[in-house]
Amino acid sequence: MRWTNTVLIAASLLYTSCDLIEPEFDNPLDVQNNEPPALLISPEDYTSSIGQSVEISVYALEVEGIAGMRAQINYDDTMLKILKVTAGTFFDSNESPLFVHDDDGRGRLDVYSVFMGRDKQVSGTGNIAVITFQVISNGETIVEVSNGSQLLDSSGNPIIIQSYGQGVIRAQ
Amino acid sequence: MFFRYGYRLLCTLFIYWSAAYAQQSSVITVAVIDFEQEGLSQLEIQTLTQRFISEVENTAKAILFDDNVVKSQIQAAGYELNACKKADCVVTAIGDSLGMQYIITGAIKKNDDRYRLEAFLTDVVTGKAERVINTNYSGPVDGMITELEIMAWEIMDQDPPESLTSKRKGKTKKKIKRPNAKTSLGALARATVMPGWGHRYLEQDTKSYMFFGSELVALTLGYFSYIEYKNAYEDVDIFWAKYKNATDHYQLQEYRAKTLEAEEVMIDNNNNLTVMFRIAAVVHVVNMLDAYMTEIAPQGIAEKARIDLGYDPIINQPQLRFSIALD
Repeated sequence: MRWTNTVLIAASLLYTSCDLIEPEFDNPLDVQNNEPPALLISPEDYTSSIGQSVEISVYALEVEGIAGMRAQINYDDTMLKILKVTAGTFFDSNESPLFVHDDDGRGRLDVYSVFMGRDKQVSGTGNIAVITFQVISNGETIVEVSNGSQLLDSSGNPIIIQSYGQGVIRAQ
Repeated sequence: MFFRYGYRLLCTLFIYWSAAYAQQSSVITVAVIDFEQEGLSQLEIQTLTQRFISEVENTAKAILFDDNVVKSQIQAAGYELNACKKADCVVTAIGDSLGMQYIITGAIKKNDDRYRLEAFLTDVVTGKAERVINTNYSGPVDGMITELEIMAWEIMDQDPPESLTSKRKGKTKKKIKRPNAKTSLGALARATVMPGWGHRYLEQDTKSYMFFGSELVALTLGYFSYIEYKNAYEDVDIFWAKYKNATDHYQLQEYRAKTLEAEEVMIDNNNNLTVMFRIAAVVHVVNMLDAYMTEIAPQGIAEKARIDLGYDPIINQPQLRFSIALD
């Protein structure tokens, strides 16, 4: 029996192979996943529980010569409640931009960030706002940047946004 | 002076050459010890042992050692002759001091008209039985004697002549064992445990090294591939996590490229180790099959013959003996 066992072990070597990782390059800020210019949420997946808060970052992806923006965020107000909205680092400069937000209380949040004056603008990829939600009920809900969002250059001309991002919050 | 030493050297070389030649002889030196008995008288067993010895001489495959020398050596070692008839006792008593190669011991047991005949051919140096014959016979006495004579041929690994086999009577049941004989299953078992061991057992050293070396190389290369694979796997894990958390465009591209590079190394090494382990498995199976299927040539006892220096206690002199087969 000893040799039959060894035959089986040797035969099993024929099928020996190790685990392989198959990485998915799904970072929303990767220009290969979203066509720029874009307004995105990164990361895209969040897990939380009732009563806990979740911080969601809104990013501008590969924008050029932006002097102002309006990010319109839709969310499910039966599951989420906005606790806080703070400015990101993208519009940081010696002169702080005008940063305001407006929550209509029915699941739509508008975030505005505008440089005062015509000589200031930013380019590239960066965090434009951090929104803190509180989870108020169980389930899965989507937070998305709506196509009502706008990017403006220093002359006030709109820049076409190619991609709008969204994130998923799972409350257990 | 120089020539005298040279002459001695030549003589020594000649003796060694003769010894080497003698090792190829098919004749062995044997001492037959009086058989043990049960249900027989001392005189009967001595007579039967002599019949056996005579038949061993008839095989022309043995040079029989002087019976008196063996007996005196056993007694000199402090053993009683009647109490020292088994192989282990005789080997302990005389060892290889007399220069003989084998001893034959045996027993004849009688129970009415049933006889049990046993004979053992034992290597004096190793103390191991090279051949064991057990015969159960029932029938008239002369048939038992015939069986005993046939055993003399069989213990010398010879086919008994027809003149003997035609005289057979009664019923005979016989077992011939070669405890040290090499078998295919023995080779297979060893080859299964370790590659090359089966061939080593069969004294095929080249194949043994070949199989062992091949499998060792394959497993070693497989192991090195595994180490490389493991490192690459960890790199993929690290760079992928960094990619997922990156927010900077350049870092994203850098980590993506590093992840892809590590992934390629991981896959390559995984393929390599798979191939190497498969090769090792195939080599192992082939090694087992080859060990099992290798034909084992029956090894004659005489092929193991040696030339030894012995001491003759009767003439109190050392002896160097060599023989040349006339067959």
